Formats: sequence, C-alpha cells, structure tokens
Amino acid sequence: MEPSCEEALELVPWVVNATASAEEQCGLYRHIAGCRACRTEFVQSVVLQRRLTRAVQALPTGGVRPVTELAGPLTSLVEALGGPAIVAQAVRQAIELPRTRPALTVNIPLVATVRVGT
Amino acid sequence: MGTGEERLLKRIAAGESPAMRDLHETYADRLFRYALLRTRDRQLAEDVVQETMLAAWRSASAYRGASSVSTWLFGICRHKVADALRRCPQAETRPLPEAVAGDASAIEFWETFDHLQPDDRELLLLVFHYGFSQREIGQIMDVPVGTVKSRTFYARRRLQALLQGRS
Ligand SMILES: [Zn+2]
Repeated sequence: MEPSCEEALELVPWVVNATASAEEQCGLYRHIAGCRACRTEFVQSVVLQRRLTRAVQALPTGGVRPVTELAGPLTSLVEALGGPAIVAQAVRQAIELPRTRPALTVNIPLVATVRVGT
Repeated sequence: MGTGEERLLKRIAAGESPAMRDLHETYADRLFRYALLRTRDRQLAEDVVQETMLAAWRSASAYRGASSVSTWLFGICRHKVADALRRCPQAETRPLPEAVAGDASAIEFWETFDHLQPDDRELLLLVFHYGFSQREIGQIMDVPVGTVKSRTFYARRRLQALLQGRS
C-alpha cells in the first residue's frame, strides 16, 4: 500500500539511514516517484545526512587507547607500560572500580585506558 | 543474533583481554565523537569513553543479547554523558570548540546544527550519522518507538529549515 504524504515524510529518515524495512522502502519510493514535494524532502534528507556525516568525520578521534594485561597485579600493568611509580598512581586511579564492589582479585584481567599524546 | 559481536562480549565476560582491546578498537572512536558532540569538551569526552569501556567490561557478563552490542554500548555511553553533564551542566550548551570542529564547511555546519536543542541534536546524530533504527534508538534513549518516530520527524524538519535558511 502506498503511504500518504504524512506517512512518507515519517519514513524518510529511516529510508535514508537504511533501517526501514524493504516494504517501507518500496512504499516510500513509489510515493516519491509521483509526489514532487516528498521527493524534495527525501533528496534534502540525503544531503543532510551527507553533510552531517562529513562534519562528524572531520572531528578528531579520541586520544584514549586501551592497555590490557592479563592476570597480574597493578604493578605488572605499570611495568608493561614501562612507567615509573607516578604512572602506577595514575593507572590505579584510571582503573579504580566502585568501592561498593569487592576488590579485584589478581586473576581478573586488568583493563585500563591510557591517554596518549596531547 | 549470535553475531561475532556477541561472541566478543562472551570473551570479554570470560576475562580475555584481547577481546577488550577489540571492543575498544571497534567502538572507541565512534563513542568519542558522540561524547564530544554531547559534552563539547575533549577531556570530558575522553573520560566518558574510558568510563564507558570500563563499565562495559564490568557488565559484559550481564549482557543478554536483548540489543545489539553497539546499541548496548551507546546506551552505557549515554548514561556516562548524562553523569558528566550533571557535573558540568553548562557544557551541553556551549559551542563546539573551533579546535575540534574541523574545516570551514564543518564549522559552518556545526554553527547551524547548534541552533537545535541538545535533544534534537543527539537524535539526529543517532539517526543520520550512526544509522540506528527506530527500535535501537528507543533502546538507547529509553523511549518508546513512537516517540522516536515523531521526534525525528520534527527534528529533521527543524534542521532542514535551518540549513535552508543559511543557503
Ligand atoms: Zn507526498
């Protein structure tokens, strides 16, 4: 069944982001083949998506990198990082778990994220 | 689902460090940019991603596959952003720092985008950049699908009008 203009416009974002069902997509395409106003909205939305995605991709990525070390106390994690005692302190804070939880045992993998660069 | 992502989470829950690194490699940058656009602060965004990854690691064993892994992670990240914004409420309304905003056309785009309410901005990001479905966004934002649909309808039109006004 072909959607009305209102239904078609509601579908536009989800067809543009490719998460609408095949049936919804077909319905919208059938509708905009014969409705110039909705076709314009559709085209504008494709452009909107392009521009948004381009702008997001121009953003920096995070300076956080994971450091994972298996089965060892914090000191071995720090050794793996090649850092001095002051680094141990920073790492300890970075991976500190909520106090309400039981303390980590040494057999749980230690996971920390360490900032690199500036 | 039974996807590679689910297997990845099982490995994380089982304590496999390389699995945690894989999760980070797949998602850290996507989450960072989302957090950056929400908090408008590089440092805050990095903290949010760190907290999200740690929370994911701690709760991987509780993951039941009710949502996709990316939906689950964005849901966690969104909570971490909300925590950060509670600590720093003015963050959300300040402009995106030029140092991170990108080239001239990106800066112009963000200036227009910033005229929207923060809720609309978040929604449009999730729809048009991250490509989540109505159901996934409902799970991430914890709202009914009908609400996602109608809010997206209006948010898109508002952004469209703003973009048109500029060109
Ligand atoms: Zn129409």
